[in-house]
Amino acid sequence: MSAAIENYLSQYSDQQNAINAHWLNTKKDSALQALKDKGFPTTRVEEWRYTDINPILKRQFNFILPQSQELSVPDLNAARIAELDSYEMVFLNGRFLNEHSDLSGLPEKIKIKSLANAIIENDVWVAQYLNSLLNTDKNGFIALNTAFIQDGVAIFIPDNVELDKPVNIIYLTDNNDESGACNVRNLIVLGKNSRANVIETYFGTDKNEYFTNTITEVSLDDGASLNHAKLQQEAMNAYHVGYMHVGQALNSKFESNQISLGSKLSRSEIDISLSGSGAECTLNGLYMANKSQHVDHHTRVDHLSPNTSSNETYRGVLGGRSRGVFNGKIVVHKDAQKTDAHLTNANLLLSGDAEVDTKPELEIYADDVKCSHGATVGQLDESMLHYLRTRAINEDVAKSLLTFAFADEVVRRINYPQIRNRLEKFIVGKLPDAELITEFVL
Amino acid sequence: MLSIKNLHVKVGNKKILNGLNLEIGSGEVHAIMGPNGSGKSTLANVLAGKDGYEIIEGEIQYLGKDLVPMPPEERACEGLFLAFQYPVEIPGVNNVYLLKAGINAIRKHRGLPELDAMEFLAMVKEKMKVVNMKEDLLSRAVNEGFSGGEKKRNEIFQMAVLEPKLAILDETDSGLDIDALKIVANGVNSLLSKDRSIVLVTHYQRLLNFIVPDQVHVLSGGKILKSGDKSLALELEERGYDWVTAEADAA
Repeated sequence: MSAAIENYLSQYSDQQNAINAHWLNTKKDSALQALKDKGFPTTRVEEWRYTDINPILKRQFNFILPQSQELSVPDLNAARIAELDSYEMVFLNGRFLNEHSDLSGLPEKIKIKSLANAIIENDVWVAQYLNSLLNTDKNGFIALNTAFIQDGVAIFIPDNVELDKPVNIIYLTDNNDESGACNVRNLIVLGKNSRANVIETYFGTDKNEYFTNTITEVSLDDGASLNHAKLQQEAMNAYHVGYMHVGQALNSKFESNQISLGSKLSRSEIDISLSGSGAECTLNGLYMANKSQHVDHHTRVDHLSPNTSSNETYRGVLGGRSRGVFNGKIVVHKDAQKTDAHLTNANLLLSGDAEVDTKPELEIYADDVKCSHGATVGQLDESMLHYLRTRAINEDVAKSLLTFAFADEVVRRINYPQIRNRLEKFIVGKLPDAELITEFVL
Repeated sequence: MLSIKNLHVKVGNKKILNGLNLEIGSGEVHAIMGPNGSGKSTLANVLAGKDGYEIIEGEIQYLGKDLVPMPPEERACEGLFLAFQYPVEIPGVNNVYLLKAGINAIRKHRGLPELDAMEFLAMVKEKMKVVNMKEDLLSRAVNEGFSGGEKKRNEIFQMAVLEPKLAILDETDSGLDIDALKIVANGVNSLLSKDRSIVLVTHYQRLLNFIVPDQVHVLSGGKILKSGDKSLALELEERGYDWVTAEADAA
């Protein structure tokens, strides 16, 4: 058994008294067993071939939540989305902070609370849905997350209800304790024809190294619609592994916007099951890395029923000695006739030392479908660059401008201007010669 | 204004310009005509400083300075402007912001204070009248979703804003119907001045009915074979280019 797993096992019993429910302990125990049996993925496994997780495993991260902690208001403000009217939930180092959160005005029939509270209060729906959709055996990080379920967000929207404001979840990690881990588990359940917007922001300050391991489980009943954004803006010395599983019933709609800007090593994975006919999903993604950052996105869409559609656009911008990995898989199962599935991945390499491994995959077992997939890796368009320069824009500014425009294509798909504005500032900040184009684009 | 002497240019392994000479004085309008593949667009691109064109011999003096080593943005700052034959679409880069950055880069280069947002907007509104630009095109991305005619108009609008000393219009007339051609030609005519020279690169005499050149040059096989006044254009329209080539071969 590896030292990493031994470290986690030794912490396991210490966290049991934090929240205690028999049904949950059973799930945790079996997840722990799965972790013991299968361990963590290595680069010999195809799914993890380009991402070596050893830097995470060789550090002794501590999953036990700190008991009391002081929140720095400037840090929280930096993590917040300015001027966004929302139900706001604030977490510090993985623990919910009620006093900094704002759920006022929430209609009574809608449940939005911390997962820990939902468990303590014996919410039946949590026991019913938590860990019900995803496969804990899929990999060691999912098993680890499940074994250490402590807190996160639980959202339950009953049938035929439209949530009036977005739910804005902030995971702030200041990590004053060395080598802390932030184990986040979210559960989002939407009833028939209900609608909601949920934003998850992962934000860290550059103090000590830390590790975020997060899972969001989503269940969308018939006709439900969820718009989701995940903004990964972890500290640059942080490790981030995220997984999202979405189950979609008849005619449900799901839109995902995954933006990865931070972290020295990150992996974000999303699995969508289009189980009900007429279900639709749209996946937008942007990853930007520089220096020696490593960023990995894996997506999988399973078309399981007829008339389902998926539309996926991921873009990457890689500078310095950074490394990007993209794998997008579409599986059209044999009953999923009239599937409409499209996937593109475009990458921009800003330096000769940056690298990307991209692999769009299509598996089709039905015969009446409309599918396309493609990936590109390239540099900036020479004719655009020349055009800008003939209009007196100097070469560095023109390059930054075109890079920004390339990334902004994804950001512009996000429905809240407050989020777009926030992201655009960070995107500009990640570009070479940022100061030259700030006035230009913001 | 512009003095080109014995210019030889190759693209890859292919020699395109073979000893081209051209003198353009201040305030003059010159038309460069010639058959396909004669080197007209190469000349325009070389003047704008596009990559991939190797100057193997000759010199280009612009306002008394050697143009060859200047990067494209410096040429623009020095007052050189190219209206592209095929203006490129640039999604995500706003038309107005491009112009504001461009005009302010030029002003900075000339030691003038930058325009603030109000001054700039007032100026832009005025210049839009030059080619009847629709206001909604301003706030769009550069040329994105513009029709062929709108793209050409946008080039002339940019020229009006950037106020160049030397403007090269590369087949600005191609793809325009007669109404659009008139609008563009009127726009160019309104920008004529004694301090501004214009080079019209074109296939057809049609444009020259609206913008009257001081000189017409026939470019063929990478050099100027014949120069004359506006009547030369009419003669070319009537007789084609072959007689010019034959005349040059005989000489």
